[in-house]
Amino acid sequence: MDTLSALVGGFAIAFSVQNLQYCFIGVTLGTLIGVLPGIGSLAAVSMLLPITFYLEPTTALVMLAGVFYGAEYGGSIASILLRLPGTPSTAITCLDGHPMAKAGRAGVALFVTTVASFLGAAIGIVILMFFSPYLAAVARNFTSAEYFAIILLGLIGASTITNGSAFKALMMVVVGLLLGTVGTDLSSGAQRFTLGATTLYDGFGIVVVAMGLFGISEIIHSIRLSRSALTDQRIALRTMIPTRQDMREFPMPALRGAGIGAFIGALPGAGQTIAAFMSYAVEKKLSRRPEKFGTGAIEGITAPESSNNAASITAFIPTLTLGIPGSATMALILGALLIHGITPGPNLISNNPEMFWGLVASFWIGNIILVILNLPLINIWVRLIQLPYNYLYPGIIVLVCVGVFAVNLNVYDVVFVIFFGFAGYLLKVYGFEPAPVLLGFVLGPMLEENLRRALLVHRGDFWAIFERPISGTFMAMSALLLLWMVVSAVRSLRRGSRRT
Amino acid sequence: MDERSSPLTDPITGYGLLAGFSVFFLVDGRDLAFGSVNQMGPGFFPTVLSALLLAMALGGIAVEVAARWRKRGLAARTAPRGEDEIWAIQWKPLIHVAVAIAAFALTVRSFGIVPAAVLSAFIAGLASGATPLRHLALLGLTIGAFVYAVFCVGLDLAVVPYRWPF
Repeated sequence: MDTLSALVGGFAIAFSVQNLQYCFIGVTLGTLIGVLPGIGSLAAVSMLLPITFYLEPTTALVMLAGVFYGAEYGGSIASILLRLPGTPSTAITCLDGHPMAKAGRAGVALFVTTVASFLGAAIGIVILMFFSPYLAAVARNFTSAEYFAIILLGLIGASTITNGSAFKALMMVVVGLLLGTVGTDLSSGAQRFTLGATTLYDGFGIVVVAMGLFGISEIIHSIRLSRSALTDQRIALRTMIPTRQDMREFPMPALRGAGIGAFIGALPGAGQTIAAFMSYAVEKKLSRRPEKFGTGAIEGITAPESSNNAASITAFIPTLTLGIPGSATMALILGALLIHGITPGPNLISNNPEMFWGLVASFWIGNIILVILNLPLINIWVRLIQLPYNYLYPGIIVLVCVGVFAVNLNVYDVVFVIFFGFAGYLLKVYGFEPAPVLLGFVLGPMLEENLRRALLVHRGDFWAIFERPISGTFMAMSALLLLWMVVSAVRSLRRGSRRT
Repeated sequence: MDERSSPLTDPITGYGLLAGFSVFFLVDGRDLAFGSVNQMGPGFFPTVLSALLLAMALGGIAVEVAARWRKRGLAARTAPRGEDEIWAIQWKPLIHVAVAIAAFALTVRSFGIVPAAVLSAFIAGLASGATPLRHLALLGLTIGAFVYAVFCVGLDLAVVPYRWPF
């Protein structure tokens, strides 16, 4: 298919009044929650999910995606001005962005990160446009064995490639898989773990699980966070103009960052945070003066920012072409599509071309809106950072309640949110990051169904999954990741015992 | 975060809770047909997973116990290692937020969504202890108006804005 003519068709869809409106709302909200430390894009997308049930599926997707990539732009503002990452993936930007702000170069830092973000996103979109139809064509030959292997790799990848403990993250995946089994079993019709409650026959709602685990638990944790690091800065447009040396040091790191980000974002399990950290490490290694990193090196903000934006776009590749989300936020976006009766997979691009190309076109539009929001209108966000959290969170709690209630008009759903909020908070307290729970929850039923089919086809021979070339490769990758996890766990245990 | 050594801030408690979670699935799922490998029954997947989770939780407990046994003399619990750091549970925000949501759930059917939102926002606002009561009342009313404007007028949801049940 001719990509460019399809893209033109996509623009026709994205430029409809409704899509344009919700694209704007999406990226603005995304920037807002990116700017405000304490709520990430995961919590924001879960809070907006109920609203999207009332929209056209394409419009819903455009808005949720806008929140997702908009947060990457907003996050860097808080990182640079406050040294508080607005979203986890912009944490690395604090290292060199904040020293620049202290040296009176906040304007330049904001300008450079915005341009780098746009560049990264643009490269990500181009890769998404040309690579997705190709991948979808390959994926059309996949059987349940391949799907099982890819989903398993995604789950194991998401838990082993984290900043925290891989063992704990893997446990969270299993918790999510178990939560996903609650309700009526698809193939036998048996009621599982419902305790006889009819309201659980359809299982837990994705909105309920997501809002409880992320929205509510994050609020409980953040209520006491002090906001001492306030700034009364105003950014004059004049101060945003970079010097000639800045310009010279800009292109290569930004391009490398975009490349790394685009690649990592498309992998199942890895996300923007990993992409940003990796690009930073690469720049530091390549630099002739690595000692200036951490003191306001411009490469230290361009590379990670272009990287996390590229990754936020290419993360849509596995979600839309295989139906397998690589991260918890992507799992939510997939959930939104499922609720609209659209099952993303290899046939999405050919069956719903207006949705795919409309989304791609909205990426271009959304990113251009974001540049406008982040350059001329920067002072709106700078002022918003100063909004105290104790005036903010009661509203978020009410939005969660209303949102959850509005989905099914079911009071029990609101009660379950308390349960999941409490559970999510406890998990955080004990050092378990709850994001993989959601990934397991969404992917669990797919994993079970594909395993069941694969075993049925191969007459109970589990090794047959290893013998097929594509599924075998994925299974080998999963096994390697697990092995790596065990090796590094043993090594850190040894180190721990030697220290004492 | 202040660090206190109590059973509640012990990493073993965390693993223990997860072990309990997996035991629930094991016990409640024992009546589901397990099936066989080529005909997986509804009990197959959850039983295998809960056994796996139980094994991991017990493994985590074993590692913690072994570490503690090794450094018996040291106060192992008060010196958490990086990612294993345990926070003290903050009961005040936890209870306030739970009560705020429960208040919404209890009132939304009989009084409608706007009064439920105002009440819930007010209770939630008490949790921080940093907002003056007058501001809280104002904040609650603003949020109520916002909910009415966005959900009842703007999105036109099928919810009752307000009613008097008596």
